[in-house]
Amino acid sequence: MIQQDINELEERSIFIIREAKSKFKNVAALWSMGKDSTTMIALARKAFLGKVPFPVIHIDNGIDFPETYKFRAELAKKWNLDLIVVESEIKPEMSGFACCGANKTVALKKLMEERGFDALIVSIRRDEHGIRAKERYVSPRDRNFKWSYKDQPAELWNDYSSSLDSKGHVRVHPLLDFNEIDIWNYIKKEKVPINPLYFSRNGMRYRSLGCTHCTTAIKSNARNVDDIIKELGTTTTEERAGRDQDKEKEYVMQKLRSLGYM
Amino acid sequence: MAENAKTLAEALWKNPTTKGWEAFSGSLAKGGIKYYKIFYEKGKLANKEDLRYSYAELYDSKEKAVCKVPIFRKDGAKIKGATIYLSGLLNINK
Repeated sequence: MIQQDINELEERSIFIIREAKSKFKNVAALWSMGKDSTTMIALARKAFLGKVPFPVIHIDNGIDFPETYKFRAELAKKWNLDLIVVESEIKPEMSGFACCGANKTVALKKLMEERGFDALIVSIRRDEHGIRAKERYVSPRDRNFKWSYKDQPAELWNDYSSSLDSKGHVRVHPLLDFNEIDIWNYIKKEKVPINPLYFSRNGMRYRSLGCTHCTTAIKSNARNVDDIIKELGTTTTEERAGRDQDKEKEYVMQKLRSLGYM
Repeated sequence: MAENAKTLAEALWKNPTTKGWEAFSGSLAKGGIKYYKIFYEKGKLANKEDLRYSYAELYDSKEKAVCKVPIFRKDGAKIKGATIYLSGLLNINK
């Protein structure tokens, strides 16, 4: 796995987070309590000298891991986060797993309308999935949350588009250039608190976290951050191998993202 | 202690409301419960009603099974997820 200079990555991410805060009126960030969004919040704290200046949103389907809820409560208190918890439904949908597919987007859409957020910071990375590789740092969504991945701004020379469709919003992606191993290197460097489910117990650990019903553990003896970094240096398995939604029909992720999924 | 947890779990199955869950979760640590596993054998969750067919098995510090509890709560006519009430326990589904 390619490792990049984490100081450069940090600098770019902080620049993007600060740009988002200054260019948009009402910014919020999504927080799933996974390694990526927790790293993003750590970066936001660094960008704004210890205080995250926007609300963080957890879209909760009620069946996340108990460790995840405990981690949420502890870190929200420790970092004094303005946490918004939105309940999402579980019901059959046209695509994606019922517990975390389009249903989460419906709950998010409702919240965005109520609170009038015009920019949403989302912690996706290009190396996670083919469709995420097509994303931009600042990615416009129309009023129906739709993303036109065939028609996106070029983003040359750090010029990030901030034009908004009326009543639309932008997705801001400050972690786009991080690889999985960069995230762990950053967690190590900055001592970012992390959900304990990532660490091995009885020879198994979670590498990518969803809810209790759509995530499976992988075989691993990595019991701490150093072990995980070492393991990622030699693994031949993809990161989201334990996520059921990625095993559905071809292009499901592409379809979900174009409809507004995170 | 384990017997007490079993009795409380039985009561929770009969009354999985917020009140029932709060009473149960308060007794988790005292009951010596440390680990949990989540089971759901129906395949894909279609809606929250399906949570009725899922459950968590709770274990003591020696990983000995103590009791089974639902992972939903009733909120009026609605069924909602309730894994938050198991906070503090550690997953051994792994």
